[in-house]
Amino acid sequence: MSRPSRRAVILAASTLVVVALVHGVAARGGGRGGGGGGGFSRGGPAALGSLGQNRPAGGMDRGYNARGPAADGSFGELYPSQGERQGQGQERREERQDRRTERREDWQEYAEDHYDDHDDYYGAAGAVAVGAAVAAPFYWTPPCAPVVMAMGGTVYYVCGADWYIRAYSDGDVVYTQVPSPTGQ
Amino acid sequence: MSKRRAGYTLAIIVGLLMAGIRPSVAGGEEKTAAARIEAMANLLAKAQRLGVAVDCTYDVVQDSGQKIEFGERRELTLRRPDRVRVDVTRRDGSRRGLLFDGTQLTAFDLDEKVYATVAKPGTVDAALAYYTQDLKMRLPLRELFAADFPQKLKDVLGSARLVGKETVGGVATDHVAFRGDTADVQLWIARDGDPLPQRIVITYRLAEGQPQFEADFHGWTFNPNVPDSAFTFAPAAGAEKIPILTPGRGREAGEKKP
Repeated sequence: MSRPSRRAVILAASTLVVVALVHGVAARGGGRGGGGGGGFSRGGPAALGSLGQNRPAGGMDRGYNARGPAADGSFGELYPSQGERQGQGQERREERQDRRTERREDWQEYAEDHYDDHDDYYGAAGAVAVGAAVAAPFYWTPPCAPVVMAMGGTVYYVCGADWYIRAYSDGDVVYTQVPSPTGQ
Repeated sequence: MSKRRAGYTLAIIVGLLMAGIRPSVAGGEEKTAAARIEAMANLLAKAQRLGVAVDCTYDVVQDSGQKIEFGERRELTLRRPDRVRVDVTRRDGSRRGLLFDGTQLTAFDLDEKVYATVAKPGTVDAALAYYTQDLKMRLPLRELFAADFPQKLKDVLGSARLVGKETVGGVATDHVAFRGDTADVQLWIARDGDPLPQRIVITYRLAEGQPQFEADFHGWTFNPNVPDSAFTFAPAAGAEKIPILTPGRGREAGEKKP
């Protein structure tokens, strides 16, 4: 072997060693908390499975809410992540807030349109689900011990002058206020 | 070119080639992950009949910031093109569900003793999209069972990575991960036989407290043994028929009424 080609072999070999070392570090996940496959870290607060500091963090005096983004189990927006710069997160939160506000306004408008026309708050024979009449708050349970009355195929829950029906809202059964079917 | 120069050039080329090996392996893993997810999506989209039990848990971040987990078992029977049944048993024991017989879409709640029925003739896909998007009813993992899932996934497959080979529930799987714009998704897809999902975790990383939806799949079958009658709703005696509130859309439906 000539000198230059021997030198070339040595250089190539040393390059290999450096490359192998660099990759070795990369494969270990870059140090502490690493070791995951495919470059994913295995470390982190949840990996410790510790019960954490047992200081009270403020209690719940009422029941727990069972609804939220994860309850829907949707895949979300299936287009590539745009990265998580603070500004974008903020923007999206504002968008969501706007959508919620719009939705509330839709409700309000719809309620106003139909307030005097309670025949419309069901579709024909209940075959088509249509929004209810009053932009009333929903209740998980009736707001009083109601008088239950069946009229025209609908069951009403009556609390004094307020009439309620049961309905699905976002997948849950709720009590919602409707105009009195007696027109009073 | 002198011999020495040629020698250095050779060394640099060899070095570069070796340096290139690692990225090309990573590229292979990306392709594997995307291919596994695609195969799974195609299998689910094309199956004419499917049955599976799904044990779901999900976090709900309370106003206080405290994270609370809820769970339910969902038993799904799908018969394309126009039949589906989902029976849900929550951890608190309450039972509810959804039926579609090609014409009528019914949500029922056995404990509240109520049901709602909507006429929606057509395919399962159209009915379930209407159920979740228009009626705002809850049906986790609907996208996973939709015929257009492979198309919907196309844009995010570029972000798919293989985390590793892992065993979950006794099944050898490829643990893969991809990112959508609002959620991060992890799937454990069976390595042997049909590429069926064994587990899924969805992290809503933009939501407060980054809640997760998790599900383990059990008893996949392509030939669920169910009679036609299983898809048609027969209300129990005394069950109350109730409407589904549809804010926003309600006005359109109202206007259509003669």
